[in-house]
Amino acid sequence: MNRRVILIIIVIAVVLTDIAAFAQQHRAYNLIMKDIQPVFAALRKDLDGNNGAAAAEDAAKLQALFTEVEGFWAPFDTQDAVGFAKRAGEAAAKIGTAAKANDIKGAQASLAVVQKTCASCHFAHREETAKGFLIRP
Amino acid sequence: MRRLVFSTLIILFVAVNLHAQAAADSTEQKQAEDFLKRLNALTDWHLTVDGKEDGLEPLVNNMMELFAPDALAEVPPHDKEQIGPVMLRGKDNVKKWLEAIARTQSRLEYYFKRQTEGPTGDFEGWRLVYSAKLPWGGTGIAFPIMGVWSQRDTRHRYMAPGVTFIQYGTDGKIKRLRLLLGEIEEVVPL
Repeated sequence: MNRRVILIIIVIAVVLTDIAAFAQQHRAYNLIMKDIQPVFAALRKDLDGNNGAAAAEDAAKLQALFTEVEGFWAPFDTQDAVGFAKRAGEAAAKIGTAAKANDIKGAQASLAVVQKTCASCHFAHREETAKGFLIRP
Repeated sequence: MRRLVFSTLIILFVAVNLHAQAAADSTEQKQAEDFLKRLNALTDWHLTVDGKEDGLEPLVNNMMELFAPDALAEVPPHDKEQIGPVMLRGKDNVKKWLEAIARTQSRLEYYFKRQTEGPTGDFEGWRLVYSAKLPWGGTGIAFPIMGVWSQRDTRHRYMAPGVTFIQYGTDGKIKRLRLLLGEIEEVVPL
């Protein structure tokens, strides 16, 4: 009986450890970046077409993607990159709120913040080489 | 008489140029340049897309090749809690210091301070490297520098004038290093 309980505890511990390890894994950074580009383009199109509901949906997607970006940078001692991701995520949240209220101008102002923040982060942490982009820590 | 003066001037001119060339190609000059080149390369590593350090270890090892196992290094503080220079004894401690630089700083740009003087130094200036034969063997070199770097976490950029003193053993490895940086100022855009 005791042996069975111990075995069950060990199995549960192993499963929990695996789940924790899986939760800490991030998607590859280039995949996150490649996902941001079409969502951003769609969001801009939504706002240009005064489509508040679709814009709110895309803004939520963008916010989730920037949370992933923040997760990538968090383990490193690179506060500015974490800050850029946070700022972009916050701006995406503002786009969502404004879009839901049909405040398209307000949403577009926040979209400009996202764009500027992306550019600042790329300037500091993206290096273009002949082989493609590299991530500068 | 005029010929004599003219010939003397030509010989002097050639001699000065030959001397300048020799200084620029001297072993000591190359050692100083190599030291700064390897130091500046310490932060030229990247992150992989899955968040792993890529190329840091080879850059540190490349710098470590210059040091003797029993190297002694006096370096500027690299810890916020540290006041004054730090004395590192042995290669392992030097390696820890270099790894700390590679991980906590970015865009290193240590360079020679140039002196614009002399017949051909008016425009580009001389990258002066002072050298001396050590009484116990090996060579000592010293050269004025400007240290420029960014803190990796904040991206704040700093600049400081300084001097590097290096003593090489007979095997060409660094036995003693003294890197002095004074008046560290933050570089703020106007």
